[in-house]
Amino acid sequence: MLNEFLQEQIRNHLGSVDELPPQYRALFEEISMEYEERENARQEKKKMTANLNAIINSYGDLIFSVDVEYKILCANDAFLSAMHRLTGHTLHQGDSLLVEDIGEEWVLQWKPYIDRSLLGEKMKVDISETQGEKLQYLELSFNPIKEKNEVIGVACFSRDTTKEKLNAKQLLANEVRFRSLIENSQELLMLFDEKKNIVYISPAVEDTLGYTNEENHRDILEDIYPDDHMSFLEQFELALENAGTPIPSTLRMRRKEGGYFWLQGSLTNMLHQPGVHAVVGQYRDITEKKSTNEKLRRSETHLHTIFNNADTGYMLLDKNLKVVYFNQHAQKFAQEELFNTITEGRHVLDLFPIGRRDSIAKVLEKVLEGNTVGYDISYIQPNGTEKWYHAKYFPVSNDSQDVFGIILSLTNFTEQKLADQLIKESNDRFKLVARATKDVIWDWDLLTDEIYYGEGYEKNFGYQHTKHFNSIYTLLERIHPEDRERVSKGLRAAIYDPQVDSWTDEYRFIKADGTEAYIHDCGYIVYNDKKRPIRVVGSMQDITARRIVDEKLLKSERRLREISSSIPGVVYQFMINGLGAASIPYISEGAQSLLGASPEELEGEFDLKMEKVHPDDRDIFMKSVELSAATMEPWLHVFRVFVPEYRGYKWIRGNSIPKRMEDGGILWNGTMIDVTDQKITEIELRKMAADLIQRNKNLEQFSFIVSHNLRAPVANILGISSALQEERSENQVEQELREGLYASALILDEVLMDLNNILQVKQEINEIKETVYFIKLVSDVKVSLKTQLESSQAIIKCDFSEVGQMHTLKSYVQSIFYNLIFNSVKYRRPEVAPVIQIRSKRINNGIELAFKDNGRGIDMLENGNQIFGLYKRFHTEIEGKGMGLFMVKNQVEAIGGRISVHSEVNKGTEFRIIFEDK
Amino acid sequence: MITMDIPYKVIIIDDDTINNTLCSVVIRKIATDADIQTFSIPEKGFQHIAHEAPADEKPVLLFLDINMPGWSGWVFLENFEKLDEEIRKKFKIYMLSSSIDIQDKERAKASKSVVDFVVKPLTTNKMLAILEANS
Repeated sequence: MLNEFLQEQIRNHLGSVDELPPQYRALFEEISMEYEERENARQEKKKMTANLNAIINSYGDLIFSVDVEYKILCANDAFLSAMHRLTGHTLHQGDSLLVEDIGEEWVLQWKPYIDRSLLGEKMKVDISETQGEKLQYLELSFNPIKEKNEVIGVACFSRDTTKEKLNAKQLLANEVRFRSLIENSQELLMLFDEKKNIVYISPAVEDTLGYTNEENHRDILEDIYPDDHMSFLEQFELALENAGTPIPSTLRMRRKEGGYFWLQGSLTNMLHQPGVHAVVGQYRDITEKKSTNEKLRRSETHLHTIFNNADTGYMLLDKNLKVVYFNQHAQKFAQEELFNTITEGRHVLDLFPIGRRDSIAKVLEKVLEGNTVGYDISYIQPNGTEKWYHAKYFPVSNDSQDVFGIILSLTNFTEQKLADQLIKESNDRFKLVARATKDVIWDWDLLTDEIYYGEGYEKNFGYQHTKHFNSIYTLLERIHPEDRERVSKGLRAAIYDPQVDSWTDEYRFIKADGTEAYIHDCGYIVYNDKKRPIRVVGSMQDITARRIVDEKLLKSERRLREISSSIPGVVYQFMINGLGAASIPYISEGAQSLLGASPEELEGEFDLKMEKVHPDDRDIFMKSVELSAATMEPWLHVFRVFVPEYRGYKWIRGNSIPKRMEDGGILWNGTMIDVTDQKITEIELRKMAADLIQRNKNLEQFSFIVSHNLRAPVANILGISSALQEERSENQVEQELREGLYASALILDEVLMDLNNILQVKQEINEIKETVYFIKLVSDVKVSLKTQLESSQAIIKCDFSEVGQMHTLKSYVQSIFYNLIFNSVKYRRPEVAPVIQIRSKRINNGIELAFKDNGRGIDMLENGNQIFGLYKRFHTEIEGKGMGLFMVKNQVEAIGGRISVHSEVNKGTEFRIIFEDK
Repeated sequence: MITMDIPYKVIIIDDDTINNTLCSVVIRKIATDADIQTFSIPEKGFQHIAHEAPADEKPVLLFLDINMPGWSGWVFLENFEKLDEEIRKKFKIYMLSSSIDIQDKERAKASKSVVDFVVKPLTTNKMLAILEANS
């Protein structure tokens, strides 16, 4: 396809295109295509130039290019108008820059740079110009335009840097001022990049926190107190979003050597700010600034020492209730009572058991509002005791009363609590005691004459209106008239004697009901500075009961004293104290008559040499005392004492009971009596007994002689005389003589028998005792007295149901039964058959046997005292020689019994025998 | 005077010869022909009893005193009790004593070899009672 220009030319020169020969046609087509391409490129270039011009014309900055002959190749409108403004010339493309009259100054300013650039140098030049009052700065860039390594021109760009220059100048000035400011200020200045890395810190920061700039470029978060991270991040974010606006910021930063500082200030995003390009953190050390904090910090070292040595546990909390500081005691408290450990930064509530957190949170809330809160709390210890703490929360606030922390103090006051409890208890007790005792407390104001009585006054004495305004006269009026003056005088004397500070008296007090009470009154006088009595405080004690007891005691003491002095013998105390010293603390009046010495002479130290004691008795005396002391058994001793008035030795029997004393010594309380007479009697009796024993032996001897040696010939005489009188003599006289001989022999034998019986009673006591059955005894007697009982038609009635037997000498009881039964038969009434009743009975401590008959009886009035006598016969008409009852009595007594008789003539006789256990 | 025959031989052992005579007189009053033998020395009496008396056909009434020099009546009894049953059963022993000592009487009664205790003097009544008891 041929382009329009070739088609037109062909038509103009050749006619129709279609008529062209094909070889030309192809040539023409090729030419046409090339042309077309060239046209397109030209059009393109033109378009591009226009575009470029448009672009460069749209720039406010100056753009132009010149060829080697300083002809303008291209220039934008800004340049052309600037040239016009500066030189007054209107230039066009193709005009030379070095036109006439363009101004030498301008040419001089421009030409060297263009020339140098035409030599191939690239350069930038700042120029300044004054436009009116305005100083303008331009930055010119000269770039050589090269074509095939040959400079064909220079392209120049200028930029109006007035603003920049001015800004830079300003900035520089600012920077200098700023730097000197920050470097000399106490303000802590930290610059962060957008990633929160520290890029700069001011010297104050270095001073305060101990960091150096060399350690920069690290994340600030590393140095911020962990609990402040969140808030700091928020603040930082807020700053980034609001460039240029200071965002308030508070944080705690770690000091290099430990501990944290409170910093308060702001964060400002100045990343866009030339020359700054940072987020600026400006902080003040508020720990320094705020007086409370300052004090706290400054004294921290001291406080540290103090706190750790104080009895009180301290915790410093920030307003987020995190522990900032604590001392050892606080830690101890946490460990012992909360089973927890305090660490810096820990939330204080975490330390407490869950159950208590709510209540403590409430407390903390109150404290954060500025209140001081305190309470007592006890913790039960593993051993069951209680430990008491006083917890106190103080708000920590700055000058503007903003609470920014809490101090928690914990004081262990267990001991105090215990002491308080003791005091309280003792107070309570005192009150109770005061109430329990009947003492009446009174308080008399001497200046007003008012007297106050305790509650007991009314209670004890029945008087009302006891509270106040009772003059002392009220008291005095109620004192028994006989005592009143004495009491009044005594009291006044005591009050006005400066040497005396108390007063005591006892008096009778008339109670409201008219009865008397014995009062022990005791007052203490209170003086003022000038030694003037101003008050008397006292207590009235009702001692009526005691008084009665005292009187009783006194009476009893008097009585005892009377008794002790009037009884025969003496009452005494003998003491050997812990050191071994002997003394007589007391001895009664009887000493004078008993020992021939007064109590005054005897009381006091006791001489163990015992010179008055019979020499033979001294050793035994001492030994008996030692024995009593060693065994604490009663001292029972008989000894002889020389009594001058008696002119000889008296036998004394001492009887006393030892008592251990506190000092280890022994006190004997006892009596001494005169046993001289008894002793003499005893000695005589002993002699007599010995005599009797001898006499008894003689009697035994005699008894043997009687029963054997004497009896044998008598028996022979009796036998022979009996045989002789039986022989019967033819001689009347001889027969009478034989019968007389026999009768005499018979009597002789009977007397001998009786004698033997009597003597035997004493002898047989050595017989062995055996159990004797009463019923058996009766049946034995019945056999022995068979004839007599049958002939007399006697009836024996026995009742041994209560006691059937006794343990004794059989032969004696046998004899007793025999004799008594035989007696009843013998002395029966002729017209009445004898009835004999025998019965046994248990009495208190033994046995009673009774023998009762219905016989003739004995006239007790006439013969009562002779019934049991030897050879006493009351019924001469009946055979008998008065031996039986004598024998019975002897035998009864020999086996430890007693016999009594009751009898009435012609009615009967009753014998009672009592055997008592010994 | 009526006399009777008694089927016993009578032996009296007593150091008191008067008593021996008296006893013989009293017994012969009852039985004139009574066979009576007396010993004043108890040992001799025992010898006779132990060796000669058994030969006799008649049983023996033996009156034995207690208090004797040498063997007392009790010692005599002890020895008697050692003799053979054959010999012993021939003797009826009566203790004949002047002793009025109850102990003696009790002791005699307690002895199994003694029939009874007779208080001196032996009278015709006492002898008759003895004979009656042994008839």
